[in-house]
Amino acid sequence: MVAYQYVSKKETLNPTVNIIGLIGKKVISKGGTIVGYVSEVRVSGNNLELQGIVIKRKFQGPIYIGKSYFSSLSNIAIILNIELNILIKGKKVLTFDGKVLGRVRKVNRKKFTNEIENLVVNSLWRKYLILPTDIKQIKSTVLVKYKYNESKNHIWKRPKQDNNL
Amino acid sequence: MNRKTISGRDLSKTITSEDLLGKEVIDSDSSFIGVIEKVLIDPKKLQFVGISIDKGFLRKGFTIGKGYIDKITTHAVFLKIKVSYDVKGKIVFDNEGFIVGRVTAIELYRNKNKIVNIFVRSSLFGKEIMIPAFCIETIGENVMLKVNRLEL
Repeated sequence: MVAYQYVSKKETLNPTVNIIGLIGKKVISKGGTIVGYVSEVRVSGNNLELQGIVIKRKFQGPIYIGKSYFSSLSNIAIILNIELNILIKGKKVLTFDGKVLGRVRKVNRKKFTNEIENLVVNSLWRKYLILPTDIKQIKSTVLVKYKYNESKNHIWKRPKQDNNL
Repeated sequence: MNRKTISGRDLSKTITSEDLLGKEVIDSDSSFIGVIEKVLIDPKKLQFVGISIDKGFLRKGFTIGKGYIDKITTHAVFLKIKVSYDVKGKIVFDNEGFIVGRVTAIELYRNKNKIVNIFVRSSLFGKEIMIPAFCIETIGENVMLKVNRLEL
């Protein structure tokens, strides 16, 4: 361990992290998903404070994450305090009654925040636009509040007869 | 053809075992668990007790009591809980993001869905560490701990 000769106006020194050492470290979401690896650490030129990081992902574009979404920062990894909504892309979308609507093709967010504006869901033949008010929960799949409406009633699908005594 | 029934109750809104068998089971995190392979009935009380779930090829299934079933819909059966057995195989991180290992086994409280301990192994021949449930922060795609690996 290197012993420094400290030159600082502050009497007590807060524990710090070596920024260069952060590069290449894991970025983990709140639920434990490995989002990617740190490729850049961005510092403000005005107040010299850490502003955010750029995450490199395999086969996907990089993501910039602001420091407000950091939960903890160590020499091993950066842990976020959110589940990134960008990562919903590709997840299955289920209706309230368990029918698979399709998969999320696009996540439209409110400006650059983590809040969803709407989700574009594609199935084989149809396309749905889901608003955040219609979403019940987002975990390993997206669950929406409404039931699935079958668009077409075939002639041979007769309603069930009630024959109980 | 009309089928006659003899019952003191209105059976028009009931479902049959045929409706249940093969139906997908979805947990409270809305993740797919498996399909129903058996419907369990108490032979003395003649009551529906639970379901047996098939998780797929070469994967061990399990049974779930009716108390954990939230609703039965036309396309799937929803559970009230996230099944604790699903933790097995997940990566465990400490509070600094260090990989402690993978969950190899879990210990449940009696036959309930409550985790008492998880057993984590860092490598194939590594030592198995027992982590009590109160050290777990969140269980999502992986397991996050509240504590540092050195405290375990």
